[in-house]
Amino acid sequence: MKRASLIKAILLVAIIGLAFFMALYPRLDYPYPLHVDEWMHLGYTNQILDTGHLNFPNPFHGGQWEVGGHPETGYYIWLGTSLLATGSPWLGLARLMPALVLGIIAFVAYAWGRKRGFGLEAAFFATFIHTTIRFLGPAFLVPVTLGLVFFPLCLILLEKMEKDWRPLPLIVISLVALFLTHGTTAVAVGFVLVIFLIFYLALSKNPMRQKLPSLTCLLLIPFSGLVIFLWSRAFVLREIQNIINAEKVPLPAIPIPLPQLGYVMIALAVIGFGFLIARGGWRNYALLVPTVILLFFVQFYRQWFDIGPDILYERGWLYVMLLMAFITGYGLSQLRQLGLAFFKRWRWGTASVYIALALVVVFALFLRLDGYAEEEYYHVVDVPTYNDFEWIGEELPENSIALLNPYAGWTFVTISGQYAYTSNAYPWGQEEARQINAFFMMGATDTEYIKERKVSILYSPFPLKNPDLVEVRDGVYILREGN
Amino acid sequence: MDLLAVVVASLVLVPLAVFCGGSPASLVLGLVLALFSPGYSLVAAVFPKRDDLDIAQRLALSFGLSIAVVPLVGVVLNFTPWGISLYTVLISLLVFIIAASAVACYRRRRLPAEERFEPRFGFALSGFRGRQHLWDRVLLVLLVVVIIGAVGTLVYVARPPAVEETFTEFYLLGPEGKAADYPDVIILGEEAIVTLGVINHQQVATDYYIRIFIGGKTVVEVATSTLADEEEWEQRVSFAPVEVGEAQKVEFQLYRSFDSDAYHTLDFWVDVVGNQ
Repeated sequence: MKRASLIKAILLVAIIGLAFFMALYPRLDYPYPLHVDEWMHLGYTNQILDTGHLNFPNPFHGGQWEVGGHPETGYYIWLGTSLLATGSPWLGLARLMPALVLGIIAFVAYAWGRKRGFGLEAAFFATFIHTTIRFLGPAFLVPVTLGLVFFPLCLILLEKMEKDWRPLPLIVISLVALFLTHGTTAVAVGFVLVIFLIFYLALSKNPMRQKLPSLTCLLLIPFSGLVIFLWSRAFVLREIQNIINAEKVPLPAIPIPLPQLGYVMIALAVIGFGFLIARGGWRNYALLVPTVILLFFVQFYRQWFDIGPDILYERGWLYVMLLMAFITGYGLSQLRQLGLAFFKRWRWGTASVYIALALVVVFALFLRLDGYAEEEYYHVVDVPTYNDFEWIGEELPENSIALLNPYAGWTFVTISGQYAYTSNAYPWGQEEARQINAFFMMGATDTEYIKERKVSILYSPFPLKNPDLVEVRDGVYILREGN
Repeated sequence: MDLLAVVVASLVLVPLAVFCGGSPASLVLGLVLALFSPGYSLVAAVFPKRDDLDIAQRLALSFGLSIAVVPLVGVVLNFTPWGISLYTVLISLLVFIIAASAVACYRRRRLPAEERFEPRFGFALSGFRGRQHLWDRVLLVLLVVVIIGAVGTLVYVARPPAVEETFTEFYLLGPEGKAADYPDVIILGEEAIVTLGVINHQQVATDYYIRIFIGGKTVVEVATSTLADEEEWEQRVSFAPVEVGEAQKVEFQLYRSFDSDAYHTLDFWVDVVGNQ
């Protein structure tokens, strides 16, 4: 192995190690998934594995209706396959997977960027993608994070397709799988691919015969989205209705998350933008334009477009950050090349350039970790509550329905394997949550209310005063047999 | 050689996943199956030439396309009579990997030997052979150190952090040790039986005792032995009411040796009837 290759291999492995660390940095001192969405996905995955089918009783609503054609089915299958194949407990895999996925994102980013001279830089800055409870991110085991792999993956295939038909079916397979995994990301990846293809077809000097695969791909990309319509028609129609009716989710506007990436990365990204424009060429424009459009969109859609639920678009920050990571990497690589060219006549010029770049990288990393420190995450369960839920799963009859604070429902179902009467972490579920909390505050004295809902377990934050209940553990009550 | 390794790794996983699920070997091979092998064999089938892709692209596509293939295989399984289970998932992925590897083998064999993609295992070790510069050897050692560091980081971040909360689990089961058959009517003069359990998570050895009250009067006091941290105690406990009356509250109060007030209290209600 050549010395330069060895050094690159060392840096690449170190970056992947950094990705492992960054992915779980927000939860180093917390043993469980952080966000309710993670619990929900794990709960659905467990339910699919229990029933063996993609139509399954909704575990978060007492099995009262079937879930079918779920729009994130692909993600559940991938996670379920990982659980089955490894035999690992879901809690262990829930910690391991975010680290592995970010490691894969960094590696695929490297593989895409290296042909253009910024593989290591792209991989390094890809580990900087931020995680918040609003637009999610690599610290969470959620479909959108898995979807990020497909940006650099499809770009590798696309560039390979410049003279070759073979990548075409692989792009279609990837997009179809992504539509089944996370539709919003699939739309974003499709959008980036379309921009790349348009620039290639318009500006590349390759003969038209060589452009035919790309032209075909451009025509096929919209059709790959049909799969989600066929699989999850009800969901798609509902989302279209949401968009048409401008149903708003009453969430406060999120501040621009870019400062969390650190000002070094932002400065390098700006430099990268400048170099992309200055150097020109279809590849550079194709990277620049979708990033600018996405950045513009996620920042201004609320004021200017005002269509549909905000949360559909907030995920866009992740795509922006990933594309920015590529551009930042490009900027840093251009600075490196300029520095090496400028100082090459000095005796210590090359070493000085690399030392300066290393300082920039370390400083960028320091600021990035500082950005994570400023982010606040909540904990759905503490260790005693986790033990309560686990005990309920082990000791109480299978497939029981529990009444508890709907906010904790997703977590309860995932840990215990029992059903929850209802669970809802969203603000529009508050009315039902208020009713249930009021019921608990009144001591849960209305046995009919419990029986009508086919509930046999109650998990209450308040002491209950119903003689038909047995308190079997702190806060855990069961309805006596015969009721 | 590479395709054989992928197929063998997948074949080895099947008995491992079935009989030793959760072992370190099944964890590693299971992750390889879910994240690498299907994509690797597919890429090998589509791109049999050495010049088709460089090694980084080949590996990157292997990871990415595995993440794409696995969900599609699962969707297909859903429409079969066998559904999605450990066996169907393993077998279907195994069939996919073997089929794609067979296509890859066939396509590679049709190429001249010098054009075929064949990974060179052990190329990194070549640095230790022959007359290599000292720096190359140092870099090789550094590479090994960094690999160990990356794996170590993964193990470090993936391990659950130490629990800081201190607490005690206290639970109440029926006479047979199940959450059923709790007494609801007790005849005066007869004993009722329940099962009580305590699990110590106080991070220090702790002495506990339990007082049972009926209608506010102490009827039994039970002491556990000293429980070490994480130690469990479970015992059938009998108690007898002292007076007749409907809807009497039976309370089980747990105390640590130093508690003046109850640490945990569980309760249920019973009717106590006379012996007629």
